[in-house]
This record gives sequence, structure tokens and C-alpha cells, in this order.
Amino acid sequence: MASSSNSPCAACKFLRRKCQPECVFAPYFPPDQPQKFANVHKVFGASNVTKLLNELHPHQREDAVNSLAFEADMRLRDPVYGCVGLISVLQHQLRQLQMEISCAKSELSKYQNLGITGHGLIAAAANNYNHQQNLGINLIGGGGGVRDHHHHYHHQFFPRDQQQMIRSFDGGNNYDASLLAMNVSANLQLSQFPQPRAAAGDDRRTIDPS
Amino acid sequence: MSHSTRCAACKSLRKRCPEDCVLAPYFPPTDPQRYACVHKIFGASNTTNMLQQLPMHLRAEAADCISFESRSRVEDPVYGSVGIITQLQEQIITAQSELVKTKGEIAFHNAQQQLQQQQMQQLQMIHAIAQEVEDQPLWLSSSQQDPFPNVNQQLLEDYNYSNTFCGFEF
Repeated sequence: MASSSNSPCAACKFLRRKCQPECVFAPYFPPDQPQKFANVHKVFGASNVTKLLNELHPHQREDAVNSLAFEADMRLRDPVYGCVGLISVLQHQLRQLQMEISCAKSELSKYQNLGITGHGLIAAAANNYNHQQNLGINLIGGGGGVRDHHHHYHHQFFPRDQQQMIRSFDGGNNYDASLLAMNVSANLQLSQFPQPRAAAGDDRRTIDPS
Repeated sequence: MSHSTRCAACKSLRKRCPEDCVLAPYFPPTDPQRYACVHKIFGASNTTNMLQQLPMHLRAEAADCISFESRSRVEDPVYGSVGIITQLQEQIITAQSELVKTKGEIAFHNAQQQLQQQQMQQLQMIHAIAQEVEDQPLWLSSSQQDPFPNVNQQLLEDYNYSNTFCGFEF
């Protein structure tokens, strides 16, 4: 994907230099996107980007350039917070959602506790109804030849489809009860994010300050 | 005039730290790692330019954010802070689906509860009717209380054993 000698890449055009065939920028900064390199150059600088790209495998470079371009664009739009502003907004949104989930799950757990009792009430009431039936509801009915004083009232009050709905809905013991005590995502550690005026080093991948 | 102790930036650059050093307030010598990341990713002059363009009261926040971004990029050279953004977006999508699903379950339970209440009321009504009917005089099946003694008994018996009573079918 290297540019031909006739059309220098956006980086070489910006830097006003000849675009060599082996230009490291050419595959990632096409001439039709001049702003992309201009932003990256302004925020990171050409030599820093070159060093960064040279430390990566070729198949990683495109993603790296695109993420650098995104960061540069964010920093130019918001010179104080840059990307970190967006991270804060997303964190806040995630926290809100997690609180809502927690509240919804605790409300759901109340229903699931009541559900068992509710079905028992319906069943008991239905049994009472059946007993009542046997004690002789003296209505005219039956087509058979039995002519005694008591005729059973067979009318079905609950249509079949409603009977099926009465079956217990096990809202799913398909959620982990521990989710009720929601944690912030296990993947993110809050210490990653800048604390006000107290950014301390940690033992993650670092570089030698000397 | 210069600082008695050089800031991390000037120490790294091996130069004198002037009194008005732009970076000195935000990159103390006690945290060399913080400046080292910034230097590697953004460079000294870019960092100085970025901070100089801002009013004084915003520079501390900006320095912290720049430090965070450079640290993220050192730890993840391919995606840097953008990796964190992507991760957060995925978690938000997952959380949104979970919330919708949970609210759906709540709505189902609400509907079920209302249905159960209706059914309870219907059962109570049936019991009340059944009790009332049982208490009524059994004149239709008992010859002692026949209010129509002159009616053709055969006709009455046929009527008693018909399949309908007051329009209700059995």
C-alpha cells in the first residue's frame, strides 16, 4: 500500500519531503486524509510516531495509527481533558447502569419470592372451588340418564390459555445472586484513572526514566 | 534564578530548571516515571506547548490527563486510552441488555400478579354464587315444593333434564 512516487503520502506532503517507497507513514496516512497526519503531528510529533510504529509488528501498526489519530483529534477538540473526558463520561454512564441493574434485580427478587406463595393461593382457592362443586350445586344439567337431585356444574371458568399462564414463571434462576451486590467492572481498576493532582507511579509496564 | 531542585522534566533533559519552568509544577522530581511516559509519547516541546496554551488554573488537570494518556499508551502501545474507551463501551452495551432483560422480567411478573388477582376475584365470585344457589329452595327437583302442581309432569321432567337452564349451557 505504499504510495507511488507520483503521490506522496499525507505525512511526506505535510513534512514537504520526498515520499520514499519504504516510507513508514505511507500505508497509514493516505494523501486524501491530510488532517489525520496534521493532528497526529501536532500532538505527538512525527519522530515520536515513527518510534512508536517501529516498536510494533506491521500488522499492529494500522490500529495503532488509528488510535493515535483518534487521541490526537480528541486532544485538539478538548485541550484540557482529551480522551480522558470521554472515559469519564463513559464511566459515569456505566456506573448509572449498574445501579439501575442492581435496583431492578432487587425488585425482581421480591417478585420471585412472592411468586411461590401466589401460586399456592391460587391452587388452594381452586381446591376449595372443587369441594364446593361436589357438595351439590343444584343446577339443571347433564344429559345423561342419571336423574338424581344433584347435578354437577361443569362450566370451565378459566380458559385453557390462561391456565397455562398460571404455571410458575421461574424468572430464571438464570442470574447470579451475587450480581445483586454489584461491583464495578472487574476488568477496570479505578486506580488506572487519574486522581486529582496525585498521579503516582505503579508497577505496571514502565520505562526507564533515565 | 532556578528551582533548588530540578523538576523531573529538566532532570530528564539534563538542563537547568528555570524559575518559570512550565513543567515544574506538574512533574515533580519525586515521580520520575510520570514524566518519562509523557516524554516518550508526547515529547517535551509538545507537552510544554500544550500546557502553555492553557490558562494557569487548567494546567494541572491537563497535565494529569496527559500523564494518564501517555501511561496508557506505554502500557498498551497499540490502543492506549482508546482501548479503555472500547472496553467501557462494550461494558455499557452489556449492561444495557441486562437492564432491558431484567425490566422485561419485572413486567412479566407484574402482569402475572395482576392476572392472579383477577383470578382470585373470579374464584371468590364463584364461591359466593355457589353458596347463594345452594341456599336457594330446591323447588325444581323436589315434588314437595312444586309451584306448578297442575303442569303436565312429563313436560316438567323433560324440561328439568334439558341441557339448558336460563341460557347457560352445560
